[in-house]
Amino acid sequence: MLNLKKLVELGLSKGADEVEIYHEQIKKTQIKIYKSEVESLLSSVGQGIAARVFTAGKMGFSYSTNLSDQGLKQLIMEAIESARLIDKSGDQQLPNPADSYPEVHIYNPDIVNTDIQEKIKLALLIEKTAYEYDSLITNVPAVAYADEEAEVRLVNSKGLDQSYKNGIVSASIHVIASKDGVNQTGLGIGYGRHITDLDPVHIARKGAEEALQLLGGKPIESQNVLVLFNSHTGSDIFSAFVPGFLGENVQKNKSMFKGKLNTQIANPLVTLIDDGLREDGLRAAPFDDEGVPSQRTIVVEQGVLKSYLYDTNSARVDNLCSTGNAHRRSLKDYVEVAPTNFYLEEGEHSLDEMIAGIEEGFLVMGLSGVHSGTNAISGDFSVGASGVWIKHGKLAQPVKEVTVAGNFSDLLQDIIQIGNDLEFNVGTGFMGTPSFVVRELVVSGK
Amino acid sequence: MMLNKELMEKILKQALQYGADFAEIFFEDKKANNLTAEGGVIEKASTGFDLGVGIRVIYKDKVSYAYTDDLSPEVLLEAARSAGIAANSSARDLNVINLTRKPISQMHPVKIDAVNYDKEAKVKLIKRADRAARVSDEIKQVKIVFLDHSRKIMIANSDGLWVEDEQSAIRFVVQTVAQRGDLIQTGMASRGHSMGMEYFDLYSPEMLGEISGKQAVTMLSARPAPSGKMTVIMHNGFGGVLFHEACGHGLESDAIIKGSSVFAGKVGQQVASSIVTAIDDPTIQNQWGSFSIDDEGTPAQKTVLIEKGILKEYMWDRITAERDGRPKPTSNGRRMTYRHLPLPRMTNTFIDNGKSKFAELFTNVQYGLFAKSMGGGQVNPATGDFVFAVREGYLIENGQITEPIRNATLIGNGPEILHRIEMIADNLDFEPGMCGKGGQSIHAAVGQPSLLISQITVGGTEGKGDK
Repeated sequence: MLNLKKLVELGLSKGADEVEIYHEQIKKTQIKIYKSEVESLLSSVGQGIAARVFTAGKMGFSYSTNLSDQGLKQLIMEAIESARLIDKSGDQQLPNPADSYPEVHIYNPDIVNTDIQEKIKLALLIEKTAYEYDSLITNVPAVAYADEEAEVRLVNSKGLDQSYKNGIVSASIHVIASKDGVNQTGLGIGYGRHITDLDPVHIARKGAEEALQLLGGKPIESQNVLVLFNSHTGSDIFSAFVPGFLGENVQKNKSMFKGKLNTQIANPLVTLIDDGLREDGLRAAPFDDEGVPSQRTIVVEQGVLKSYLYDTNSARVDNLCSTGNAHRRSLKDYVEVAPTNFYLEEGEHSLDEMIAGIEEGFLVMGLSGVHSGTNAISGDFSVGASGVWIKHGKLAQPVKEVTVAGNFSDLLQDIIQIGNDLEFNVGTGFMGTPSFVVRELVVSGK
Repeated sequence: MMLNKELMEKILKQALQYGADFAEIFFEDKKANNLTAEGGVIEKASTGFDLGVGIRVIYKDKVSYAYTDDLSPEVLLEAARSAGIAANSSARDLNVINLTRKPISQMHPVKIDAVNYDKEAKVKLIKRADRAARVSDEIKQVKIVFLDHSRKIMIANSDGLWVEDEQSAIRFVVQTVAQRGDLIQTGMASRGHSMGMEYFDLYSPEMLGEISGKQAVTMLSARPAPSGKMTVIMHNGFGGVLFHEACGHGLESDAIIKGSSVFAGKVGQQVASSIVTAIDDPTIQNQWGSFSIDDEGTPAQKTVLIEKGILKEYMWDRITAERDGRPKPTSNGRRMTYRHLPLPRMTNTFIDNGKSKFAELFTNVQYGLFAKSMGGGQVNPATGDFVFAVREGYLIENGQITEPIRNATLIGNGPEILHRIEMIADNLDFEPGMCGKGGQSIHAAVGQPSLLISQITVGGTEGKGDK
């Protein structure tokens, strides 16, 4: 067992005013299946440490997977040297320990007790189900099962010493449907806290159905038209613009929502919440990545911007308290401000009901180039899309090779209907939306 | 802190004892620095160390992998055992493994080590770029990222291979934000190489700052991009992201052997217009995606993928090459760290020089788009469908570049576009990229000369009937 407190002491003795040590140990299993065989199997334990040290309010950062005495000393010395280079105004501090931390149920101890054969069986069943779903499903290039058990411990020189365990399992499938020499892919994905949370048949069907629905898609004439995003693509498009709600970006003039607090920035139907305690979200935890207790923050309430999201240091700039949004993308990354589980609150309609009410529109089922085709600062976006055309309340022909373009500010005002099928999108890591209808966007095709 | 010969032979034997066909040790010791400045002040300074070993075991078509960051012999042997046992076959008699260290020829010499270079001196370079980026009062934000790393790797395997390499890289990125009224536009300049501080002999901080600043300010005067099919001239350098995304991924061998690529089974066939030659080449001296050996120990080699429009070869790693019954891989086995399995990946992948001059490309274009600088993109390798953002674009009218346009997106199908490349200039250039696949992000350079595509769909934000 590593003595993290001793490492904190070492940093203080080398001249740091404040020291924080983050330690993580991750146990992982990944299984890939191809043509009824295990294609690859990864099973490992890895650990590492990240250090933040503060001298005169300026922060240096380092990380290492070399946990030998010499490696740890090097880690601290590099961080101290880095802190001296910083010329950003020196008022950064670590948070104090909180009086109490919320309880979240994100770890099922049985996760480690599942036999590897059971995991392989689940992945094989996903593959088999997809092949049997329809004769047009011609290839399943990738089926993956993964589980991860993480143990995080955070110690700082202000007396904080907290830890938690987190477990996540997931499974996914890529399928290819083919007809007349044309290929179409579909993706199915599921996640949970234990292997029993995964429904292999549902995951397989989702992938197969998507591929079949989109098969044979063609571009349509360019036009301004009503657009219906499903839960998956809706959360994709939102995820690119959520950084605008981070206090740090507002302070740095990099947010389209600067100066908009308490004003109507979205349709009154729209309520956006960041909830670090929501256990069906992938970022649920008792505290954030610098030790501030997790919380639920209403960001937009009935269209009105209520709050930005903060970590300790960005909150201090605005004379506010952290909203528990300090985040590390990985051990190697700086602590940054990021959403936890960010979602658009559900409305009342099912996806089918919304389709039935649309005279003409475009149901977007796949987006590509979301990060290259969006400008989080100006709000402009132009992204590749595929989906199905809606005519007279029914799904008509599949559409592909088109772009959907607009501006996110306008999109927020133009959300005129929201579905009841909220799901977090694993691909984005933090975002969830139900399906929703946007009054009008530019669809470019032929 | 490398592993010694006896221990490695023991690890390999341990890994093979459950009957596997092949075992491999990948050792990595990496140091990486990151300096980030915003608004002219250093905001982030970090240094990281990755040290660990990955053990790969192959049995028939099955791969198992275990890694550890604890290099004590007991833990390494346990990792070897757990990878070996997952191969799940019956035990067999062991052959003797005799590792002989093979020297490699270092193709990408580093003159001035960057990773241990004076950090204060690096800060000065950043501040010079910041000043240069502020080309007008309209530049509101300048962000500069200075990355460098050095990575010692060692690969030893049950075939007796034992090789070591040291790989260094350096990258300098200048991002700018310009504002006029409510309109905000961004600019970016980024260059990267497998070298040390001598990088700054190639690019001064001022040059990179200015490119980025001018781009952002230019785009302030841009009008929304038109939509529809039109002729597109893609500029050299990062324009090569088109080939990388729309075709390169489909030429990686994992997609080929699974039949999930549009290029599967098409060797010898015409897959591009006859002026197109495409190459993957990690031997280009000090280029961003270069190395002397790949992450499986295969010596770097140049691979011609497409020659005069005819598909010649795919990019292979060890496993896929073996599965296909090929004598050897093409030095495309790459991994992000010791925690990752190697995958077939691109290195420096580019369309080769053509015979036209840059100016000639424009002569016969009545109406089209000049994509001077590309943003990122995404592709579906099974279909070849792609989408790219144009970072800096201009209208071409009657053979002339006229006004800048913003928010243009290129969308189409890679294999189709390859047939529509009608002219290629002779100004091949490269730019660095981080290529993501299977959760692994690695260095890959994209490149091309300026080229003319007869028709491509442009998605813009200019609505129908708008002016």
